[in-house]
Amino acid sequence: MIIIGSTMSKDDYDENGFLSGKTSSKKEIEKINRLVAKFAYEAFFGMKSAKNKELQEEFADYSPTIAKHDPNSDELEVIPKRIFAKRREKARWEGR
Amino acid sequence: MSNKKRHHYVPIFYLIEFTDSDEKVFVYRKDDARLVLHQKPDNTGFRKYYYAQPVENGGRDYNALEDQFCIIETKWGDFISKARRGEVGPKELDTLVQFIALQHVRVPATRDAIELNLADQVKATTLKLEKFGKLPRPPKGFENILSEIEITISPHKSIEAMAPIALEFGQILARLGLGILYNGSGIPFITSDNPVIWFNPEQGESEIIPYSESSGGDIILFFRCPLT
Repeated sequence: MIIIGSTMSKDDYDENGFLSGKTSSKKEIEKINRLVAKFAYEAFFGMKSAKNKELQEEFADYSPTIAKHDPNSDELEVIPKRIFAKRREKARWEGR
Repeated sequence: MSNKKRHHYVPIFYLIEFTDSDEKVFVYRKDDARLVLHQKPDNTGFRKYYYAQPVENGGRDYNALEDQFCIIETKWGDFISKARRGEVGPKELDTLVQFIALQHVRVPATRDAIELNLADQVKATTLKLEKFGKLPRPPKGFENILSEIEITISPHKSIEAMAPIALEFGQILARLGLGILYNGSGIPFITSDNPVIWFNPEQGESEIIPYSESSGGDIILFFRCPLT
């Protein structure tokens, strides 16, 4: 099962409480699986399947990360900009 | 008490649902699309001492955060049982919100973003100070040292940031109507090392910006629950 949250169903939720439903739509589940694979950071997990292998190939080196800030920019604040891209390498911390 | 070495950011019990008859899970790595690993849940989704924290006497505490996570994870089983019986009340919702928030803040996708942003801030500030002549001039032959230097951030900084980010995330969750979608399609769900996702529902899949909302503040969130 999957938990779905939506601002659009907030009124319904406030009135009727926790909502539940069942889908037998393969298309709908495949769409959710595509989103899960897309948002995976280093890896996703599942059963062995050709579809999952396709998702792995499609979203290889493609993860949610933050854009590299231009250090010479005149912006006063360094606000993180979320993007999908190859994961950025972090310099290794050698301290405590 | 012995120190836990493997700190799982994807809980073992969470991955058990995805195991096959060998009690292993298939791991589809993003950095090598040729590689699909077949591993026991204990052998994936962890980093060594990922939640270890420095303590005042100079040592490190390896277990405190892991132990706190276990308390939240233990309550999760009760939530699942009650959700199956359709008995989700305010107390269970509290458990759900805690678990989702924890799964959002503890993972490398979030912690790396925090550390990378802090590194960008340090670098931008340093270059501004240099630009305004507030730093000593670099030695001859090292004129570009400040723009080339790599900034490292203590991992403890992203641990410190987990609590405020969880609180902020709680405010997002409070704006949502929540529900469960059961899967009767015959196609198994997958999950990932970053299982809490949200975005602007007005964007098509190819345009999605991670963790964004519409101009009117609309959001749709998905969280893959352990257990079907």
